[in-house]
Amino acid sequence: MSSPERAALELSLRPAYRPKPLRISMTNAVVALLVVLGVGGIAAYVSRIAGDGGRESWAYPTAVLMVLISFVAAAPLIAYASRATRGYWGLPSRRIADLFVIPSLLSMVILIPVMMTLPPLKGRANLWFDFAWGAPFFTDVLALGIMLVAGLALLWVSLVPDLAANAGDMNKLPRWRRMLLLNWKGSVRNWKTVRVTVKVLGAFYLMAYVFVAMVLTTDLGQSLMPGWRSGVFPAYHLISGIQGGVAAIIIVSWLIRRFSPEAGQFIGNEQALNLGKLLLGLTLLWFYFFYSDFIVVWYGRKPSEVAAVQVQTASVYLVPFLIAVFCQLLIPIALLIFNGVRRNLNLLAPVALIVIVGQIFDRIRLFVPAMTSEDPFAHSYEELPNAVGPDLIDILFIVGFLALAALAYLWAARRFPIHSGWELREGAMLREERKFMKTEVLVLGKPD
Amino acid sequence: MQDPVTVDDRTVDRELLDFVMRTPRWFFGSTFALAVGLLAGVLVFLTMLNWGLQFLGYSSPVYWGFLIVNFVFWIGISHAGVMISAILRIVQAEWRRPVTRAAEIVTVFSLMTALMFPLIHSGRPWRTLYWAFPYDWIRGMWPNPRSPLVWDPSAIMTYLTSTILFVYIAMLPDLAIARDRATGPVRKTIYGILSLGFRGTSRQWRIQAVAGILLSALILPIFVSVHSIVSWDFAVTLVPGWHSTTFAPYFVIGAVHSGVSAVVMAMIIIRKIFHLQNYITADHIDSLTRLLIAVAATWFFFLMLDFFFGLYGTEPTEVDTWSRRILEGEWRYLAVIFALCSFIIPVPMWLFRGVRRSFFWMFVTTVLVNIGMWIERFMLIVPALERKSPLTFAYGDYTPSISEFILVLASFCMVTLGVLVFSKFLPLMPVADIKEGKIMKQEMKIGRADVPATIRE
Repeated sequence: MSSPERAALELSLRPAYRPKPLRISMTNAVVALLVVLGVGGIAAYVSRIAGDGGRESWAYPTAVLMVLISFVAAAPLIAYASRATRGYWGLPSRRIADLFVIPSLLSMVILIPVMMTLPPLKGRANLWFDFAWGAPFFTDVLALGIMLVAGLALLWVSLVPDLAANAGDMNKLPRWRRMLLLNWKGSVRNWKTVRVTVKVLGAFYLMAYVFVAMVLTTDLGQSLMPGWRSGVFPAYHLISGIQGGVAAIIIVSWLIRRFSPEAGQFIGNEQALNLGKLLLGLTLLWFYFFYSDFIVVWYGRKPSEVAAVQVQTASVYLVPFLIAVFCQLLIPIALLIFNGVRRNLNLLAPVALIVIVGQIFDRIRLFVPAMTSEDPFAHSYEELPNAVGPDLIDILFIVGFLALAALAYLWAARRFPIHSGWELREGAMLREERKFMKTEVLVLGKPD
Repeated sequence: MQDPVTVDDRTVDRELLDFVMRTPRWFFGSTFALAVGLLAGVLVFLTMLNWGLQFLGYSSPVYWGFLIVNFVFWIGISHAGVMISAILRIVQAEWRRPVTRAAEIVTVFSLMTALMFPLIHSGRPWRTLYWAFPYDWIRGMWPNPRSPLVWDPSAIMTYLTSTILFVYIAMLPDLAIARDRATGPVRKTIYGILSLGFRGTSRQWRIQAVAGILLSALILPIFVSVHSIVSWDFAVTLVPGWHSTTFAPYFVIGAVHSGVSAVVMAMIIIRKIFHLQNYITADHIDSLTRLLIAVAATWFFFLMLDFFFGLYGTEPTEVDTWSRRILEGEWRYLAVIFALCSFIIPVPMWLFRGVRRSFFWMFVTTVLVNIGMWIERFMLIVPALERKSPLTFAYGDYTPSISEFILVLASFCMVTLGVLVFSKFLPLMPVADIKEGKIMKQEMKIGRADVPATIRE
């Protein structure tokens, strides 16, 4: 058993713990570097829009988009899972996870120009069949928009009790602020509304995320690449996205503990151990979904399908594939099987970083060949295409948008409390250490 | 929140071991009825040995009928034990305690039953030995390890072995209790040998607990691999409607859907006939049903993936198979029954707390799920084979025969009989685990409310 952090147990109802926005003892140099890289990313984005390179020029930006849809947009699902299963260890991680919805807004910025480069649906395999109402442009943008709005609503509602606690006398606030704070008075009805809404919005976000993963992976991947027909691929994308989401939460947790003593006191071995177990489980699932996809094609020996798999794994994009396999599977498994690594956030954070690097290469080997395919209307490759490497603008785009995502997260963490204070307090009430025979045990309250 | 067991330890021993120590009259009647059902299946099997597979109604191109449907169905049911026992043990779900043993035993007997069907289906079961022992050295005929039909027995036997080991380790404390309470010398000796000298020392408890957790973790990959491999029997072929990358997770989650439903159904029956109202409460069924809602939703997602990506490429053969499955002939009625039974009726009902806590409604809905899931396997297998393909020239009509129905009935009798006979030797509820759960239960004062609490393991 891994004990929770002492600070998490000692929070009491009165005086109420009021988490503040993050104060990070980080030099401005890091922020300046992120800004510089971000400006580079924006310049690359503008250059891509202004240029007339067509679909191929958006291949690497599409990979970045799918990275954002993967680990950034999937992170809030961890908060939902923790709430739905009443996982007490996840209390300090919930807001960390929820805040990822802010950087995920960048995905919409990339999606709109990417969708405009897609060829017409008629004549190529697609999920929309004869649905004529703006598919895929309007439908995909709408689906992503709904998911992002749900994520923002989820973040906002979960923030209300903490923001209201920090706002002082509600009667003195302007009307619009009172409305934004849902006229919070801390009444039983208020609390019930927040708890139910957070759960319902979380479930809705999950459904929206699943749908977005399904349509985007198909419209920007499978339907453009001859011979690629895999029903399990959206699920693969989903699982690997959640794997990346857990990795991202681990990295942010490590940064908070390292650079913010006030907020970091709630994050300890308990979080590391459970996030580590989750990461190990998801890594194994990554392999399962990959293999489920691979074995059927490999054993079936259907030339069109085999050619598509060859492009993604065996010959054309072999290097990114190998990096992805090492970073998303082999290295994490080799390290995470040790309890010592899972228990220690300092050791877990590098593993998480490796997973995210692997995910970037994974999305490159999957979406770049699709976006650069010469004939999306063909049923199979006549001959295997050449690999398309990134040019300088692509590299600026990748690095720049990842920096922008980091900046957006940093901005959110400095505006809103990084821990969900009301959930931490609730958790503290429902946990206590007791003497049991000759030992101390942790007792968890399970209301309703 | 789960209601705690309120009776004292002595009563727990007495009530849970009652059926082991004392045989009620209904046991003989029901055992006899189940044995007759099983015997009918044996007779059909023996007749089939004499007449060949044609006796069961198979002809070109449909050779995979009820036998393979039953095989997939029972492998699916067998996933309940590990799902409930191993996964819930790892995530430390307290409510698992009264449910685990029955789920594990259902797993063991349904696996054994599942294993029978490929053997029957081979038509000449003794020839399956040749898979393991090549008989024609001169012509170099060897078993082909690249065939999924060879992967199957390896995976299932591994799963069966590990499940039996897993159940056995979990049963050790109960075997020791049975040894201490047994009266006759024969029983005492048998329980004494089986309990491996378990005396309840702290070292023994520690080893038993660690072994349980380790086996839980080790058995999970096997659990996932078994139904995945079964699914690859279908998926690695190029038969339209089967050649789908979704099949492995779709089969696994479908197995959990039907398996957990079967456990809920079994728990409600066990509660009634063994008078275990003190141990299986509405809270346990409620918790299992919440799990079922999540499982059913995931299963539905994979069903939709399979459906949409079946039609995705608009390949005529795939579209034809799906059209046959859901729009043509008698299949369209089965498709409606399947959809209603496996998802549309039960899942929305489970969203209501009143239904989740009602033994009657939960029994009805879980029976519906299992009917639906059996039909699902039938719809997956037969229409894909029936479709006219260019290189098959002989087409016979396939209609399920009475003999096949008797074999289905016999399989249910076999599993039920197995569970019933087992319950005569050991309780279907883990006595030691129930007592441990009593110790773990605590209370917590929050404001004016007493909140139920539990010690974290």
